[in-house]
Amino acid sequence: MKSMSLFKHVNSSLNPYRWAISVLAAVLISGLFAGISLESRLDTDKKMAESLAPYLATLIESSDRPELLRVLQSIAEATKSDVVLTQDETVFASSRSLEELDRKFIKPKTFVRFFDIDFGNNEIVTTTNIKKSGQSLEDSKVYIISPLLPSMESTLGIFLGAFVASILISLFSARQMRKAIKKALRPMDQLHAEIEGMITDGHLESEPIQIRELEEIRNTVRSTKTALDNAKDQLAETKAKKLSSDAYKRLIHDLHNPVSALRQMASLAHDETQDLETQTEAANSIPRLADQILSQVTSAKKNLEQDPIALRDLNIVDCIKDGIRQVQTLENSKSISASFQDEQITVPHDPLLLKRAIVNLLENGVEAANSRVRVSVLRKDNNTIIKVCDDGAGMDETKVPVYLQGRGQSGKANRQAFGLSSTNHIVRSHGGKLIYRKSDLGGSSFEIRLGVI
Amino acid sequence: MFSGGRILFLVISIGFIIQSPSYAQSPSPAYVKAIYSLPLSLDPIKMNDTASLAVGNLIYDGLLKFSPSLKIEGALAESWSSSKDGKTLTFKLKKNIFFHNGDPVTAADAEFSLKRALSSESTVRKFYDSIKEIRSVNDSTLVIELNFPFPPFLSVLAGATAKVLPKNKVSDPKFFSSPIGSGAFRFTSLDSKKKEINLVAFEKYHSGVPKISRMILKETTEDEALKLARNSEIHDLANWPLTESDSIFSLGQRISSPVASTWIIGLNTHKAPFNKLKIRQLFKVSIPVDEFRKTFYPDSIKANGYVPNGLTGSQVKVELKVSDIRPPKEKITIAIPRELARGQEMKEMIEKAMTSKGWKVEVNLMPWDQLMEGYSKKLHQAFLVAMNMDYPDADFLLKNFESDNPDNFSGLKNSKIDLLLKTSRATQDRKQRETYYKEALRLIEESAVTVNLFHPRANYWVSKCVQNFKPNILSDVYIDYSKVVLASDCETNKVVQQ
Repeated sequence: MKSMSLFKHVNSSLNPYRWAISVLAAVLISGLFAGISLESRLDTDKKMAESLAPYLATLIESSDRPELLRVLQSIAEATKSDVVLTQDETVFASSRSLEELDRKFIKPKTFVRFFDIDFGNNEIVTTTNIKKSGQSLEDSKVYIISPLLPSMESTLGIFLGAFVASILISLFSARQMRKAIKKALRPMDQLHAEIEGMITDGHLESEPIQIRELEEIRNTVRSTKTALDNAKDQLAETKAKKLSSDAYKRLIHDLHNPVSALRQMASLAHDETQDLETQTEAANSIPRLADQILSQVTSAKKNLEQDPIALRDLNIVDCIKDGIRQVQTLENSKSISASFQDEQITVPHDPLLLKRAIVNLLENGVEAANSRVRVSVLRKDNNTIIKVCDDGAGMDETKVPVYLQGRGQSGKANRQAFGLSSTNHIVRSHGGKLIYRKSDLGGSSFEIRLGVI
Repeated sequence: MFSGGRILFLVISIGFIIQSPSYAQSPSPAYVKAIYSLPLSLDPIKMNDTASLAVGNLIYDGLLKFSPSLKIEGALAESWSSSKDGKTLTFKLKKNIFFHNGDPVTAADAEFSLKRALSSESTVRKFYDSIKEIRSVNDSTLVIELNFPFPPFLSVLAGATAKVLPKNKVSDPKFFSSPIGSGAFRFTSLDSKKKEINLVAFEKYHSGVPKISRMILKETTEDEALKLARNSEIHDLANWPLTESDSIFSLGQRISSPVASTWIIGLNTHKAPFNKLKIRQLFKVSIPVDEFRKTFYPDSIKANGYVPNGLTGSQVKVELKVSDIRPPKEKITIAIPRELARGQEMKEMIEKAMTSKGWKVEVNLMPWDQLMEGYSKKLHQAFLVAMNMDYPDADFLLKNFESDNPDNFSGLKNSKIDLLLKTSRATQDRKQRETYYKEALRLIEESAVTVNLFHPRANYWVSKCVQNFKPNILSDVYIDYSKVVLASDCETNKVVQQ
């Protein structure tokens, strides 16, 4: 699932409502304005007719058609409509045609009535009864017939104007809302930075966050972080104890065979039933076995004397690069090439100890190599594999476990055997494995396999 | 000579042999308007017939004019104002207004022309009798003082007789043979043989050059006019307000409008038995008015009274009580214009209906000129005429019944009516005047000097090539032809065949 920022999430969540409400509000406001405008326009026509009604009534009573025609013409010009005055449903005066005078009035067909105003397909008809002193003149009416489209033009214009204005206001409001959301989410950013700082730099002190809930979260995270660190330390201590215990167990296990052999040889050397040659050989083996046991004990002692492990979630690539730099500083006659699958591989490790293990392997490799040593780091499944290869003569595979146990004799001042035992110890301390293989370069290839977070 | 109302004469002559000019084929198509009669006079102050007024309105312009809906608008006048007491009217003339001969129109011309209307030679003097003084202040300002504040006076000035003529040309004895006005159309010739008047558009017309470049006014009868229309030889039958069901409308446009007119049967109180009020009242209710209207003019408007619908007084309706009266033994003759399209049918209907009610009635179909002569000499017992109005005010029609009016066709003498009319003229308050009018009309209706047949609805036929033809509810005289368009790409023949 693709992640997005909280701002985008909030913004996009609000969008449908914001637009729907904006458009709905714009339509309602525009409709209201347009309706008021149309009603006002037509009401003005009606009021004009009503206000003139007493005068029209007088003219009707006087049967003064010329004057009525003039008045209706004036009303028609003022209202941009046709005006027809009827008496007993017969046209008495009209602004539109003399032809219809004294003929039966044919009212335009209308299909809807709204506020006493009839709407037809092409016209709007406003009907006003002619009254004089509050009394209707018998069957006398004024019809103001306005063309529908021109009458609706201004209404439509007002509708569109109000709609556009409403939408613009909504857009401005949306923009302000985005700003407000951004501003409202700033404490979240602060919280995020705070937590980030806690994790990366371990800063626990900072400015308080204004939002109470976020401040509580920050405090919770801080206390959790502290508790976690303590737990980690405890875990590391426990682990170290376990590793020491394991080392002792391994030493005891590793010593079992040489001690048994020593006992066997001592028994044979004093067994008179054995021939002399056997007794001599056994006697001779005793110092060798004793040396071996002493060497194993010395190696184990050294390993156990090392600093207690402190695992941290750090980039292992940095640790390896450090190791390479250290070895290159001392020995640069042979090339050390390095390749990393990724520049950031976070593995819980003790950088100091792991660097020592890597340096051991590199030093061994450089010593054994003819010309080149290659270091590579890759991830496979849940493991991180650090591979150190050289193009030297390689090792007798049958003797590798002996070296790893610290019992082997190095041809070179006893160093390799001693280093491999230490390296093996450190790798095991990290919960990993040290594996030997023949290198594709022709020499040795040691792999450190560690778990990845 | 008619007092008050104009006589709308439907058909003047029959038997006129129609030549067959194809006006639509002229290089510059002329607008051909059929008229029932050539003008009896081209002098505005002597115009009493609709034909003369219609032609005069094309050639001459006045200070004011009527819009189609009778709104008073400026013609030669740019603006006008009235004093607080309503007795002084001041007119400002438009700039750059010209007569057809190119001379500018001035306030002096207007003063001269209106004074002519007041002169003894004027037959329309009665319209202007409220004038006390006319004076031109300068070339563009004219002041008219009235004896009393006469509200309809602006309508009088917008009427077809209040035209402005060139002061320095009218004295020419031949002026009215080739009249000069400032109207939309310039008079070019009168062809007595063809019975045609030729007009051309006046290029300097103050309201813009008319859209019709040439116009021919052709005298013909209604029947012949219809034939011409069917043959695509004329564009305009507006002189004949046809019934809307006329088949001619399938070949052109029907433009309909009520007009301020009343068709009446006038009763002469000087002729027995109409000297008796009760007889007149019985006669009035005996005439089958509804049947007549529905049979001959079904789309016309029912007449409640003498005054046309839409004018003050039109609501006055009087129920006459005639149950105890019997028809007289004397024969009654009703004169009807012979030229009416269905005159014979009218005669038969009226005679039959009246006979069945015990009347001895004879309908006499007589030529128009004979009928008019009898009318002016007050020889007829009863006569059918259409009373048109020159200005939209009941006063125009009510004048007919003033005792001292020589044009009082009924011979009615009623001092109450005289007083009411005199008082109404000097009353500015609209409602008060209305009260006087209604009372006067009630008295006239009770006097039963008119049988009000109907108010016509004019159905004007014009060719489909004609555009922007706007009727006028006062009369076809006032149709504004300066705005009428004859589509140049529309040949009449083609249009008619559509």
